Amino acid sequence: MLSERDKKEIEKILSEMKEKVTVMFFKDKANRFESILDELSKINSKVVVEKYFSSSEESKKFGLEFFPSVVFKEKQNVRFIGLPLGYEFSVFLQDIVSISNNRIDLSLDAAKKISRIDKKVNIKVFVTPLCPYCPRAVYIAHQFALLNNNIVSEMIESTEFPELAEKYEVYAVPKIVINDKVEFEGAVPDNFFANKVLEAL
Amino acid sequence: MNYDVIIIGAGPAGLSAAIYAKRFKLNTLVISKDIGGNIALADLVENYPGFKSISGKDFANALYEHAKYYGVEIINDFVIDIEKKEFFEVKTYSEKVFYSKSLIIATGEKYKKLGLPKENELKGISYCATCDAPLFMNKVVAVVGGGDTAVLYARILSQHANKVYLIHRRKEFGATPIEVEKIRNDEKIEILTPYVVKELIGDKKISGIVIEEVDENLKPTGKVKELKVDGLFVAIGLEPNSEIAIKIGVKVDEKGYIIVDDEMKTNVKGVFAAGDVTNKGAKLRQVVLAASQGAIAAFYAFKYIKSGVW
Repeated sequence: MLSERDKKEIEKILSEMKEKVTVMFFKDKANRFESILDELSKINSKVVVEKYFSSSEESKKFGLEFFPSVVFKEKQNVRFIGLPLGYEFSVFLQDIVSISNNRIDLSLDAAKKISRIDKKVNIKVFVTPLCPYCPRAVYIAHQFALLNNNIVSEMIESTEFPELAEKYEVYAVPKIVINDKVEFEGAVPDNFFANKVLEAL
Repeated sequence: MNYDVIIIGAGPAGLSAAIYAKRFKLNTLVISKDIGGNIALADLVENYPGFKSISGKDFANALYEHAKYYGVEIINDFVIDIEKKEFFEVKTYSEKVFYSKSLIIATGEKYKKLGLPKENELKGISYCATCDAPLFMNKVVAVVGGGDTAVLYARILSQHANKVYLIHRRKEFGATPIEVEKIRNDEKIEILTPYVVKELIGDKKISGIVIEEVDENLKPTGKVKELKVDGLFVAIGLEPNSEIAIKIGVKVDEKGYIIVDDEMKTNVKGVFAAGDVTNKGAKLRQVVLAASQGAIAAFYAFKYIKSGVW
């Protein structure tokens, strides 16, 4: 699935990993992403892959409703609904490194606002695989979740889940929906994004 | 904290300027709402010397890494105001104020809007077909424009939508003839020329458009049509992000592009501009030109900072 060039690039990115990270992959049927995950753990043994069927206990435990989904065992509030492929694959790799190193990459302004939040927050970032603006929005949403466990951040691949895209009236991506209350479109600086999260509290 | 130069924009012009400025040992800050600018959105860059073919995103990342390697400070924020006092005061969305002896404006271009009422409010109006076309599966959409981008958008959309109207104000398309031929043979695409979009219909979300026929002088003939659409894709070209420069008295041409001389100087002392936001090389919007303009701007900023002579 991955070219030699891809593998080299991935190896370089994952070489920054310190602690192991467990990628929990939930599926309702065999999926092409599984072999990519297997290749990742071959490239770097600190990437541990666990695969579950949608009917499994774990799947119920996380309250997952849509498949395939990806959840990180060490940071269960960082999620992908649909496959993190296309431009989103780079965010998936960066998430692994961030979790592994317990590293947060946010401006001081945004980090201050996000770290203070003591209420439950759900952030949905709707994307399409070929949208160049989208990864940045997913990355920031996931960084917020990494910083604060009260926040669950989900990337949603709109083409895989048209019923969700329809429900949330997604006509342009990235579209961000916070607590089903505040929404905006486009990639924005993290401090702007943080203010939108505060607005939704 | 006082900077020698603040560069606004982090596309090829801004980051090239930053790399040169840093190597000239100027105290340099880059403020940008994004990284890579519009080139990050390009599918492939195939004409930048040294790279046979590289994706726009990889190219943008390489630029960013290069600037970071020299320790360039880059802030992801919106510049909302600039004031010229003893120093330039650059204010951002995050309520920060930065001071600098000189500025390099490298803010590039943005998608041109139709300029019709409700355009900013209605959902379902897009300027990026690669991003949003898959959201219009089996729907009816319209594309406005006659250049390569509009024709490309029509082709992308025909892979997803049931029906694509392509509306252009001239009978002939400006796009590459071989690409125009492809859309003429596409059964899903209906070409409507010479028409302009007159009105956007919808409440919250676009539901239709009114188009009006025009003559060769673009004068309306009075013949109008109403089309029901679920989405509208606008591809009528680009315009410069020069509002912030205009605010501090920088002169622009009739289309809004910043007027610079051979040293990338504007009419305002201490203010340089580089890249697509300028009137230089207006016909050839290429990365290699933006990068070279960034280098020239940084060089003359360096000379200005050292000598104090404008």
